[in-house]
Amino acid sequence: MDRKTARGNRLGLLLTGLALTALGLFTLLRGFRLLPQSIAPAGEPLAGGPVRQLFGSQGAWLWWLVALAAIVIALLGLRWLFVQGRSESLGVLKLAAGPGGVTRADPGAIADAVAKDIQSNPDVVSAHVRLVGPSAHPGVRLRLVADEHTRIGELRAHLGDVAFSHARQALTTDHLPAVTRVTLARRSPPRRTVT
Amino acid sequence: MTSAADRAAVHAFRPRRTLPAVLTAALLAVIGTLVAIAVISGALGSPARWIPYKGLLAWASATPWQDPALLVGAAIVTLLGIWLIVLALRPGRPGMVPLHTGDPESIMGMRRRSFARSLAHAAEEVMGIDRAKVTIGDHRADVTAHTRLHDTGELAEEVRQAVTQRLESFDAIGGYAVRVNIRGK
Repeated sequence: MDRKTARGNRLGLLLTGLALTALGLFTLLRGFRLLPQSIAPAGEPLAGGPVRQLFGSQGAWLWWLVALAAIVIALLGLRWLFVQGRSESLGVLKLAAGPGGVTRADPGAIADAVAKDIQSNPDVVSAHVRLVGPSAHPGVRLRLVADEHTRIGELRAHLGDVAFSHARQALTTDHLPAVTRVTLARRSPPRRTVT
Repeated sequence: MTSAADRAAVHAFRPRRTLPAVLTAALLAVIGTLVAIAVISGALGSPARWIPYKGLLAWASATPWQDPALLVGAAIVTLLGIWLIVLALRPGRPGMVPLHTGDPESIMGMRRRSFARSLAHAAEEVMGIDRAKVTIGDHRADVTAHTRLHDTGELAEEVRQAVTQRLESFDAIGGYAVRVNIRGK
């Protein structure tokens, strides 16, 4: 999931929260007689005279307005659900474009090469690399499992000076934003086979 | 003072509120669809059979705004709304501990559990400490170390130094204060 979805989630939760709070507070204020009784009496039924009158006189288009609002809410809810699975992953990588044509590369192959580069560090147990973003400004997402006794400073230097540097060269870019998530794990001892 | 790179690192690992977002989105989709079906089918003159129109209308016509059950429901809705607002506005605790990288384009974080376990291992490397547990709070690392030694005079300071040294090697953004609690037999 990208940061755009995270921002969208916060906005959606905020708007839904505000709507629910407004609805709940209005009901509480009216029910506890805190609103002017001449306008909003607490003893009146929910579907009292004014509501029935309104839907009676304006019913033809008011119900369609309610239906439209319900459809909009349902569509917004569905869209919000679908974007949860939105991926930042890069589909096709255009390395260069000129009069002779376009040079394309497989992002998966480059990601695998970067992962191998990272795994060349003996402290790295496993590395999973994904290229993300638009083709013109790619970025790297790295999930790294390192030995629990690893010196994190050396690992940081290996990533910056070797792995990401090679990735920049491969992608022919000077800028390569990278997000690395590190997990420390106990390395299982190598298996020995006695023949 | 925090740099733009540090702020970006902290932002990158903030919780994304996926579970409440999925639940709220699903509820909105279901409620919106049900209301739309109810209203449209009613307006077209062939109301959906599974919607108790008469029952709903009778309830709404007989229930006043001051009805206690309605007010309890309204209080729950208000609390739910406030909870969603708090969830949206509070940054929340990141799942990863952001680390300095020295490169403004590179963001690095360590899983909170790995971070705590590594600090605990540093404490366990101190002579006399049998086992240790570290709890990570907001820029605080609480170390609980167990020992069989009777004389624990210098032990707390030694553990604190070992954990601080490990913390310095991680170079975590924001820094962490170390508190040590030694427990003997």
